[in-house]
Amino acid sequence: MPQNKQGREIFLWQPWLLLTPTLITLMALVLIPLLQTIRLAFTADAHGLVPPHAGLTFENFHLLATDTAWWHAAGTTILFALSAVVVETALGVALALLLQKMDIRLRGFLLAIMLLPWAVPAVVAARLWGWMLNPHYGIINAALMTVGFIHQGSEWTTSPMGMLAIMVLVDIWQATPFMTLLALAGLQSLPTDTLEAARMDGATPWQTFRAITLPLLWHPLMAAALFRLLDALRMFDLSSVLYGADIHGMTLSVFVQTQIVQFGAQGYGAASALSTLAIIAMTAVLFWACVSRLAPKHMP
Amino acid sequence: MRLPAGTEAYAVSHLPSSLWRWVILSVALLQPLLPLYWALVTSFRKGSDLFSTVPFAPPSFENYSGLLSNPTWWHDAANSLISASAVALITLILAIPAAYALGRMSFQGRNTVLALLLGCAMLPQIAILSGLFTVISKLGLYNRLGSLIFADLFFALPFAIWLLTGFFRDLPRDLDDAGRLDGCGIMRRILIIHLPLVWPGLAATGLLTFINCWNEFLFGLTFTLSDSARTLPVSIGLISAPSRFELPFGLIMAASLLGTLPPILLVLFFQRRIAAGLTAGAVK
Repeated sequence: MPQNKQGREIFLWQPWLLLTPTLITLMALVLIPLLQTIRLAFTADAHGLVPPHAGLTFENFHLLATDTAWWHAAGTTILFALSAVVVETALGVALALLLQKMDIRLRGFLLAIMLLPWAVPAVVAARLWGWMLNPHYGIINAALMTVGFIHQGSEWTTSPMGMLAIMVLVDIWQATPFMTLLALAGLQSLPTDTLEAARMDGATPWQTFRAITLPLLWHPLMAAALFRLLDALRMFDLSSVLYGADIHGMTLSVFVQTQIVQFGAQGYGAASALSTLAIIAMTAVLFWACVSRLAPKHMP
Repeated sequence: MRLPAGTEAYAVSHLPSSLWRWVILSVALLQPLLPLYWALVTSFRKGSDLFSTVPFAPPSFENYSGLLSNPTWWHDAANSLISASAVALITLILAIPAAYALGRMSFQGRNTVLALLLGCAMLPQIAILSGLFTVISKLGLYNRLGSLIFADLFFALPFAIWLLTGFFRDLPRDLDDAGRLDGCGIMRRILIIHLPLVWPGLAATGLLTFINCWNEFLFGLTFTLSDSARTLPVSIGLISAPSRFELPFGLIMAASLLGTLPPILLVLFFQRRIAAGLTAGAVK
């Protein structure tokens, strides 16, 4: 901290002046709406299921606890996010290991192509895959029938598990490039001399990967996975475009948005939004605890 | 860090022996392209041709000409372009001074601000949705493009500041001291000395913000009611037909591809900048 001649700290106003426009914007955009959400969550809806009465109430949360649609959405969201992130991380590392060995120009070209699904709006990705997986005219059913894997078109979206699997598939298509990029950045920052030494000592590529690359890569990789997990836990677009407000494919974000916009239940919507925050936080904390326990040991 | 030149030469000279690697890579290359190709094929089909699985066919331009002669489509595209550019611009204007303060000055409360920004970046959109609805109605912005520009700052601004702070921090410390000794004020230091140097970071931040806002769906769906403020993803998401089996897939794919063109072109032209920004955002 900067100090004046007497050794007292001087208050630096310059950085705060530079931060003021941002802080004011975020206050209007985050703090006030968040406080408003919290207030609404404890207020009864004028037109909602709960009879309106003045003052604070826990009624919204009581209702939520017995709402099967809500619990279904929570399960769908957690299952979706965890399965998508695990596959994306594994695929990302595998692709990054391959790309790392490439000539730099070829790698740039490949990365540009592989980044395309990431740039596609999620709405478009949902439309595109929804069309390809169409049970009657979809190209995927047609291709599988031509090859002989199936004899009649499969109805991919009839079971809740099928609906979930399709969301996971589309998310993998879109988000794997992100994990590949981060894994590649991690790989390129590893000490080359250690890897070289392992190779000289006759370690197989798999041994090198298990004993050196993975332990060194683990921490940044899992930080990236956590980042991705938080993103996947708030997924809205795919579920909304693919299934509308169908309870079997609904994620928490869709549940909350439907309550607020379609049903105009501001209080119930706010209560479900706060509960969604709690579920996201819990999932993230549990994920991090598991990941820290699973961390591979660096073998000498 | 790149591998030493010798390692690359070694890898290239052994390429034929690692056939499996090329098999995986061609799959990795085809999986982004095949779905997009199928969308392209579908977008040139009409009527019963839609249900043909032949990969090539004489194209019909009906879907595209229908879209491009529809004023609503142009209106949506203009809305998308205006809101995404406006958010990118406003975000940069707000984020540059903030990121300078956080990246290059040490002051009490700096870490608190950084932690709060990270918290904001992790907050899901629905956490503030009902509150933001009230704020936007009070500001008289509901069902206007302004509501979207305002709301998009929620995720764009914390992300941009976080990203730019890293880029500012990486500049050498001497720059500020030299500027200060020459009697250069803080605004001039930022504008004349730092901005030209963090140019790559600014470009990455601007591009990522633009793409994120162009693709944004939740706020667009929530804060617009009529065509007047609707963006492309929202109108693509809302295209429907009287019956579930009569969805106009050719039209949907044509609209989807046209709406995807800007982000795709940006990725193809600025792949390196965007990749650097994405990596920096998560690592720094």
